[in-house]
Parts: sequence; C-alpha cells; structure tokens
Amino acid sequence: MWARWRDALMRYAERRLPALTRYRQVEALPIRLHARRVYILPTRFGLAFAVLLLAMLIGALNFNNNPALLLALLVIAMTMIGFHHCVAQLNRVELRSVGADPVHAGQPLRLRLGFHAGAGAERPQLVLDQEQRTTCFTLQPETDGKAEILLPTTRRGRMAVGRFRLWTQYPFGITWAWSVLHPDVQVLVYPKPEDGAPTLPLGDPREQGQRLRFPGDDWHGLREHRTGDPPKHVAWKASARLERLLVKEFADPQSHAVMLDWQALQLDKEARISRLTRWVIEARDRQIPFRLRLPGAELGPGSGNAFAATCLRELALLP
Amino acid sequence: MNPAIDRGRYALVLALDALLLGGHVHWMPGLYALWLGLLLLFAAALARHRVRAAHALIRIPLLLATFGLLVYSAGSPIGREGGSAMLGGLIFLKLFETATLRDARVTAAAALFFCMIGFLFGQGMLLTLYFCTVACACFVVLHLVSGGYETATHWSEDLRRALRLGARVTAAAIPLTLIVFVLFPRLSSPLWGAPWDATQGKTGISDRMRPGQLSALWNDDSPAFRVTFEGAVPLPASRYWRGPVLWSFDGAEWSRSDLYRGSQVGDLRYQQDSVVDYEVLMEPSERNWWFPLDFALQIPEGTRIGGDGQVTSYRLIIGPRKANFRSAWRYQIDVNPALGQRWAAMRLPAAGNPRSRQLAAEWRSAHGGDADAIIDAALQLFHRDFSYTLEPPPLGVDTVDDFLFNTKAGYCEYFASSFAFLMRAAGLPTRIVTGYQGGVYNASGGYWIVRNSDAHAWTEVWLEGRGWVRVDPTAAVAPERINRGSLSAALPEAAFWYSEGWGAEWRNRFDLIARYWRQAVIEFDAVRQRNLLQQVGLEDMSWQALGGGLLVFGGIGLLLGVWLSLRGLTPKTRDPLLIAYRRFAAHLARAGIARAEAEGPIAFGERAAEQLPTVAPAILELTRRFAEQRYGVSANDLDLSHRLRLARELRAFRSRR
Repeated sequence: MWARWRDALMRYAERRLPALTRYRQVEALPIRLHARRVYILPTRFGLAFAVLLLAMLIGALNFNNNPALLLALLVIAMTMIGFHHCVAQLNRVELRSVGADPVHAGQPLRLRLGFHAGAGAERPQLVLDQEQRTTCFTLQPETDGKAEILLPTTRRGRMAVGRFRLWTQYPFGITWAWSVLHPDVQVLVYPKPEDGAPTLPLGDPREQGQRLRFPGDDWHGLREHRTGDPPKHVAWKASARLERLLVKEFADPQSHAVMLDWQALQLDKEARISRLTRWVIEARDRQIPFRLRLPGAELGPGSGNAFAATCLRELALLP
Repeated sequence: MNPAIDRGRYALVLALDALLLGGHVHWMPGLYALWLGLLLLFAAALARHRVRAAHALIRIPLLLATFGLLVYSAGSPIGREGGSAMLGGLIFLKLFETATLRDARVTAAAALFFCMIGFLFGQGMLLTLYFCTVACACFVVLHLVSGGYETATHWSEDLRRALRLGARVTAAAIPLTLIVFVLFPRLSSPLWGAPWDATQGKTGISDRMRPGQLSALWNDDSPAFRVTFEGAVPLPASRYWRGPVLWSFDGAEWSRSDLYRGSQVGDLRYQQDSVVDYEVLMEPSERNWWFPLDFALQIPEGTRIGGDGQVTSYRLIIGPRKANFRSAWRYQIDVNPALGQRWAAMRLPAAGNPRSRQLAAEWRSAHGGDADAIIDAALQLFHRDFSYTLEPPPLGVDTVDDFLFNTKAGYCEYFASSFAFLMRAAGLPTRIVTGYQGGVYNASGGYWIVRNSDAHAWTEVWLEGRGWVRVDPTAAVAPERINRGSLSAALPEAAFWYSEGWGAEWRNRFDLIARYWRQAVIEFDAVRQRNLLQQVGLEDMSWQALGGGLLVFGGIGLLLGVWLSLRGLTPKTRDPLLIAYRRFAAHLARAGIARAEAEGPIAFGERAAEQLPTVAPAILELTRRFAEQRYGVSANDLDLSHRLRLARELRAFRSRR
C-alpha cells in the first residue's frame, strides 16, 4: 500500500516537477531551460515583503480607504508581474558548451560555460553557483554569452563538472527563480606536481647533447666483449693490439632528449606520477626535449607545450 | 552574502526618502518635517566619502532627539499623527545604519508602507498619483539593490535600466490593478476601529458641541449602529437618529441642561402611518446613549426617554447591544410645552457675537412675529452665501460672528450652532439636536448601516401651535448631505475653491476633477460596487461569483501585463540596414528558405542562392554588400547614404520577378 502510494507520488513528481528528479541527473549538452524546469520561490526578504503587502491590503480594506487600496493593489500587481520577469530570466536559456583549460590537481579550475539566450529581453543578474562558489553574468538575447566559475580540484584524471544552479533574484529581489544544470561533461585534471622534487635527470654531463640509441647504424666506439655479442661486431684489429676481446659498438645519434622513465623510479605509483609531472613541467618550461616512458607507452622525444600537454594528459589518465 | 552598498545606490535611497518627505510634509508638524529634512542632509554629508553605519554615539542622540521632537511637536507617539510621524522618523533614522544592500531593501519596503500611511491624511487625486509614483520609485530602488549585482557594475548604468524596467512594470500593472480594484470584495464594516480613536477618545458623539469637535468623526467609517426595519422604511430625508439634545450655549460651546435630565415626555401627537418598528444593533460606544429614529414611542427595557426625546441607557454600552424600538417620524411634540422650556431655549450669553445679534434684530423688526419668515431669512442666507466643507477654516473668539460674516464655510455643527444663535437672538426658542442622519442599505444583510461619519447636528425651533419643529440648516447648504443619506454627497474639499479671483475657472475645473475622483474612487464601496455590477447586468452577485470573476479577469489582466512588459523589453534595433535585412530574410523565409538561428548571413545567402537560381546573383550581391556594411566597415568610415541605399534595395528585393 505505502509503496504504491510512494510510487504514484514519485511518478507525479517526475511528471510535474522534473527538476526535482530527472533534471538533477546528468544530461547531455545542450541543456535548454524551459518553463517546466524553472522554479520560483520567494526569498526571505520576499516573505517579509508578502506580510507587508498583506498588512497594506487589509489596512486599506478595513478603513475602506480606496486610494490606499489602489496603492496596495498596484504594488501587489507589480510584484506579481515581477514573478514572471523572474522566470523569464531563465526561460529559454541554453547551456551549449562547458570546457576548461586543464590545471593541476589542487589548483582551481576555471570552468567556462557557454550559454545562449533565446529571444526576449536582456538577462542581467544571472547567478551561477555550485556549493557557495558563485559567479554573476549577463546574457544578451539571441546571443552567446559565457560564464566562468572556479572549481576546486583534488585528484588527477577526469573530473565530472558536477551540478550547477543557475538562479536569479531579478527584478526586485522578492523572488528567486532557479534551475538545475547538470551537464554530462568531464574535464581533465593534471596530476599534482611533486614539491621539492629532485631536478630534472639530465644524466651524465658527458652525454649532454649526445643521447644515443643502441644498437644503431653509425659507429660509436669500442667496448669489452660481453657474452652474446655477435661475432661480426668484434673488432679484431683492436682486440689483437690490446690483447682483449673488444667489440665495435654502433649507435644512432639520438635527439638531445632527457629520458623520463617510469621504471627508473623506485617510488609508489602516485609519487612516481607526481615526480614525472614535475619533471615534465620543468622540461617544458626550460624548453628541454625529453621522452617519457610509462608502463605500456613511450612518448617522444619531443618538446614544447603541445607535447608536454600530451604527456601530462597521459600521466593524468594513468589507471 | 550581504554586499556593501555603494555611494550611488545610497544616494538613490536618500532620494527616495526625500520623495517620501515631500508627500508627507503637508500634515507633519512643521518642526518635525524640518528635522527629518535635516536628518536627510546629515546622512548625505556622512556618506560623502564612504557609506557605513554611523557610530552609536551619533545614532542614539539622533534617535533621542527625533523622539523628543516628536513628542514636543505632535504630542504623543501614539495615534494617527504621532504614530505616522514616529514611523517616518524611524525610516529616516534607518539611513544612519544603512551599510549594505539589505538595509537599503528594508528601507525601500518600509517606504512602500509609509506611502500608504499618507492616505490617512488625504485621499486626493494628486496625492494618490504622487504616492503611486513614489511606490514605483521604491521598486526601482528594490531592483537596484537586489542580488546579482555583486559584479562591479556602476550604479548609473544600472539606473537607466532600472528606470526603464520600473516604468514598464508599472504600466503593465495598471490594468490588473484597476480590474482588481473594481472587483475586489469590500468589507461592509471594518475589522477594527480607525487608528486615531486612541487619541480622540471614544467613537460616537459627545454631549457637548464646540464647532470643530465633531470633525474627527468624519473620517471614521466604522459603523455606529445597524438598523433592521420591520415594514416600510422612512424616506431618507426623515432618517434622523436622535441623540443628545443641547440647550445651553456659553458663547463657545453648546451643552445639555441638567434641568431636563429627569423630565418626562410631554404631549406627543403622531400620524399613525408614520409609525415604524425596528431593531437597533448598537456598536460599543462607551456611552449610554441610544439613537432611535426621531421620535421614539416605545423604548426597550433598561432605558429611559427624557423630555427632549433623548433615550439613554442605564448602563454604558460597552459591548454590542440589541434593542427594539417603535418610532413615529411625523409627530408633534410639546405644542403646550412644560414651564420653563421655552425660556431655557431662548437663553443666550449676555455678550458676544454683536453682529449676529444685530442681524437677528433686523429680521425681528422686519418680520415681526412671523417665525417662518425669520427662519426662511436665515436659511436663504445660508443657501446663498455659504458652502459646506469638512475642512473649515478656524474661527475666532466670536465664533458665530466669524462664521456668519467671514469664513462662511463649515459643516453641520457650524450651521446648527449659528442658526440656533440667530433664532434665539431673534426671539425664537431653539435647541440643537445631535445624532446621526441617513444610513446606507446593506442588501445582503437586509439592514441599514449608520456610520460614525454620518454624525450630524440639526436644530429644533418651537413654533406656536406646532411645537418643536425640526429645521436642518445644513440642508439649505448641502441638500445632498441629507437626501443621499450619507456623507457621500459631493463635498468641496475646501472653501478656497469657491472664492473669486484669478484662475477661478481653472479651480472650478480642478474641483470638477476632484469631485469625479471622490465619486469614482474615494467613495467606491460595497454598495457602489454592487450597483456598478448591476449596471453591466450582474444582478445579485454572490461572493463566490465575485471571487471567480476576480480570478478570471485578474488573470487576464496579469497575463496582459506580463505580455506587455516582457514584449516591451525586447530590444529593438534602430539600424535601418538591420531592419531591412530582417525583412529580406523574412521574405526568403516565406519563399521557403528560413534562416537558421545561428546561420551567418553569408552562409544563408549562399544557401538561398542555390535554391533560387533565378535570383541567385541578386541574393549573393545583396548579402555580400550587407556583410561588408555590417561587419566589414569600421564605425568611423560608415557611409550613411550607401547604407540607406542598400537598405532600400534589400527592402525592394523579391524572389520572383
């Protein structure tokens, strides 16, 4: 019995009050606001104002004071028309895009929300908020507009932007119209770079600018023979002269790239990511070419902002 | 979240308070109004550099000074005047602790209420228009201090928008206001008494009469008593409800005479067909007077009737009381009066009012013993030269002289008092009767309602062979007052409007408008409302029907207002080129090629050219030139003639030759 009642109630709520149920769930962009999902309630000031209006009305009626009644009715009529202006602020507003430049975990993310206002009046005094972080903006009719809001970030990876409330107290601060926006959008958060990390592992100073890849095609030098070296690499003349078996080494001259190797770090996972992130940033800022070797992927060599962004993205998305 | 107020918005709040003061200055004690003006200037001076709440060392002395001045100039912080002045003072003092937008909001809301208070002191058309305008200004301020302006917009940018919005919302609210005003159910009797009862003593009439004293009752619309007739109802001109009878005049004040307090009704003759039975429901008056229809034949238990026809209760009427009476409204009383009655009704103070005495003596010598001629002369005088007003000018020491020869304007008391004086001076026994006159029928309740504002005073002259005959001098001046049965007679607000001089015609026109205003708005009550609805064919509207009509028509008014105001806010371009291009696009849309919302003109032109090959070159050419004019040219080298030519061509474009 109770369950049936509750189901019926929920179905009714779903039908009549979609913003309480359906529109609180994530939705794909674009999200278009319409009258059915814009809600309006008096503000606290509005409640006090209503009491005032009631007192004015009763007073005017009681003393049969018609000019006072005219005034009270005019004020009430203006207030009521204000309700509609309040809802019209949000009606036919469309959230078209949500995006952000990635930041590192711990830094505030500047989220850009692209709105488009439908026909109608200018829409000033719009407020977008999410958990006490608010931003005010104005939309012009039939024009795109944007709002920016700072969101806190805590961990790397993809972050759902979460649920926003778009609201306004326009025009008189007596009522409060709002609608819930929960776009199905995720933004990327880079890992937090390690503080006080060791400097970039530029390796042996000799090797500065002489990174090689073994084996290669160009002759590189001689070295002690190790078991398993192919016989055709043995430098017979040199071996005879030194009475030790030496082999010729061949290598490709490598780009002057620093190797940032996951495997070379003896830390736990998040610490490794954190340090690699710091090094990527450092290499990017110092314009040093580098390579990044991660489990299952090797990036580079490369340099510049775009390459660094790719690396950071990979780091961010590591499982 | 309570942002601080900036100086610009604070200045608007100051301006709003100044507007309020302007609407109230006419009734405030001058000193107090001056003080409020000074408070305004002081608040402006304090906020010269930065708006913040004033220190308590400033605020508390200001509060004490305001209160002190209030008591000094208005007498008491209670009652109509004192209470209103107190509220005004508090609104002005709020300026000194306004630091945030929320404070400003509170001030704007209080200002709305204070606008309404203004109608306790006047209900004229100009005043109404003024206060409605101030109310709109309150909304403009409310808009400017509402949330969402935390962005650093400059107040002056917002002010223009706020004024536009306020004007539009006001205009849109007018139809709804008028519809609801006409249809809103009115109370047939107040829920509680008028706020100035507290200072003016009890409601009801007094047993003393000094011209000017009754005036407080005029504004009091609360019922004095209700009457249910059994059978025929007397004519309006006979509905005199008899109260205390005043015999003694000391030169300034009329009062009862103790001589007749215990006397019995003398010889009374009446016409049988004028006898009516009725039930009276008295409102609490804290007096022991009943007001039977003149003249009472049968009185209920617990009351007694005096020789002068006044019915008094043994107990004060503290709660509502009901009683049955029988009266006859055509009667003769005291054709042979008791000894001393005539003598008592001719006594005058030894001195004072010499001009009136002289006038009476002239009449006496001209008409001799012809009492009717003397009465007629007095009534003619009133009818010719006097005007009825509820706001008479004050009288000097010789009240009768001053009234008869100088001010010549007043209400029933003034006329009754001076008429009785003249009659006595001319040798006719005369007494003053106070009570009520008229009454309004309440159809749904089936009873007559007599309000305190129907309070009246008339006279009775003793004539040989006819006894005491009622003469109502007010009827000679304002017959509507008597015939219409209530104060609703069209009364001039002030004698000023009838005086001669320049612009008399304009004053008359203005007076005409004021009369219309009074009739159409001020006196629109439950009865008029019903009459109006009957005129449009709605007989006997029940309150359910009235409520339904209110909802339906109010809804229509609201939707109309919303539509008007929102539509009006759609920004309109004045650029002829853009208007012409929109017409061009609309023309293509009719040809089947609608421009998508986000489609640029070039893309749209190309698409249209593809689908309409016959006019493709024209479309492409116009589109190209439009895009160039609209987006490609910097504002400095706009070629106006070229734009106008292009606009003309765009308008002239047809998709079919």
